[in-house]
Amino acid sequence: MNKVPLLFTLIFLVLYRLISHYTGKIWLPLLVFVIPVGLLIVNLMIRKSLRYKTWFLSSLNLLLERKSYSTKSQISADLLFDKIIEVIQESEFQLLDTDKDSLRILCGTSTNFLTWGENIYIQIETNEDGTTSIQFVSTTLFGGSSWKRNQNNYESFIASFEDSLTI
Amino acid sequence: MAIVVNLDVMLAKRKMQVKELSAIVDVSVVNLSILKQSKAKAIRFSTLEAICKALDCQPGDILEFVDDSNT
Repeated sequence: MNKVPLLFTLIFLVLYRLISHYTGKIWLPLLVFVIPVGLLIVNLMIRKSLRYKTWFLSSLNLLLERKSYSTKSQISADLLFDKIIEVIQESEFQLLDTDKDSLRILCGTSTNFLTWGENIYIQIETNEDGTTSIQFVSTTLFGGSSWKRNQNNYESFIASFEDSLTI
Repeated sequence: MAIVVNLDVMLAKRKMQVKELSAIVDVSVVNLSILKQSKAKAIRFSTLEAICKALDCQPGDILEFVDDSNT
């Protein structure tokens, strides 16, 4: 039950029944829902790989909401990469994929009663002044609004990261 | 940088690797590396105590105040 957002399922069923009742056709409501439901299934299937980052972050993907944040750190890029992985493993986020060569990390939040979860793409880059920047992009897996969950993800991540710097 | 961490100096004196110290004090290698580079925000007394015990030294051997206000 935890894996299926109940609200979405209930709305889906009610709308399906309403459309089939008023139109008298069974295939019409299925056709209406086939695109968003298909998109959701595809997104859930490919969410765990960094390979599909461009799909989730593309501005043409209008059915997803994404928020981008950036912060700087004095810690070197390689060390920061390991540190962020450690922070993710000790936080509420799930580590999904990493790429040490390009210093990219993918983590996510879990599916629950109210959400299908979000994907969080982290990119570490070394700046010319010797500092390191962390690009943080949180995206929904389905839905044009995250109801502030994208922002909460960033705030939660930064809080966990700052806390972890007390050793 | 007002407080300098001389952990690498103490490790060299004791001929100990960061990995070895990590296992003794139960602090990850990543965290010890951040501490060594003086990039940590703060250090817990419990961590300092464990490091001092492992390296058989005083807190002053690890932490040093450097007045860099004139630089």
